[in-house]
Amino acid sequence: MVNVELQTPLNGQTFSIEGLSLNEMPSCSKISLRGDAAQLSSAIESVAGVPSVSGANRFSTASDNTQFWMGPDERLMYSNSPDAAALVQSLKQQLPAGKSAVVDVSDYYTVLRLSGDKARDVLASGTPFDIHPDNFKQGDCAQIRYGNASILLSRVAESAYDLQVRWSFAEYLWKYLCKVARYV
Amino acid sequence: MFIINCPYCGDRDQTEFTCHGEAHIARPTETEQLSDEQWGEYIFFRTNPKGMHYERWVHAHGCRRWFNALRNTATDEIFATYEVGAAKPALPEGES
Repeated sequence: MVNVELQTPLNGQTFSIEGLSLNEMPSCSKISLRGDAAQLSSAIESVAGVPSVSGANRFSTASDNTQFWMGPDERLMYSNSPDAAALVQSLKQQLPAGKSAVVDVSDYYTVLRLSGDKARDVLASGTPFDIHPDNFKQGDCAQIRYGNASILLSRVAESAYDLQVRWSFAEYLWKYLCKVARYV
Repeated sequence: MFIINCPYCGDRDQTEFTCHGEAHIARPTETEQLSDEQWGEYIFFRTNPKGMHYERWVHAHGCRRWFNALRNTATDEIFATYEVGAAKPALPEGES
């Protein structure tokens, strides 16, 4: 059997200047779920132990597993378990067939983590979205535009943000962030 | 540039949205009995008013959900945004 090595679009690169650090997170299983919101929540909770999100544009985390609100009938789940296919199977068993969809999107996206005192300024330079803490608190997530890329932004800590971006846009976003970082 | 209130995500920048024309156009139910003229009417003809207009919008870079909006096409002022399937909001006083 061929030994397949897992790769990410940016090969786990890192970048840092004073007050800012940027790195690509290790790959994780990502699963997109569509269906009735209450049923999705209970399925995710029973399979991954993640409590349901507390409202629109929020995410919740439990032991490295996360679920994001993506729409009124859509959730996205991150899991540290490398076997996404098995997760999809166990989620499907919890959900009514024909009225829900569970799709493995692990290789569709990658996640960059931006942290440090300058992180907010760097973000503000590329998006029309209001990331002031009054509007975007810890535990909030938002699907927004950054430069020309559509990203899922989530505030994981006071000054740390995760940016989920499509694989094909990862290099663009990386270069954009690094360039902006020199000016803020 | 203006701010649009997505019924699901709240206030977001205009550039996250795209507009897809007139809303509340019901597909005819008995399609096999329609004449070409009636099909043409349903598919191609729109009111295209200068003034108040009920339209379909999609939050393309956000939650990707469709919703309806009531907008004045002359001034670009948006009076209401509401979920698909909800009743048309009334026109504000003095508007037609």
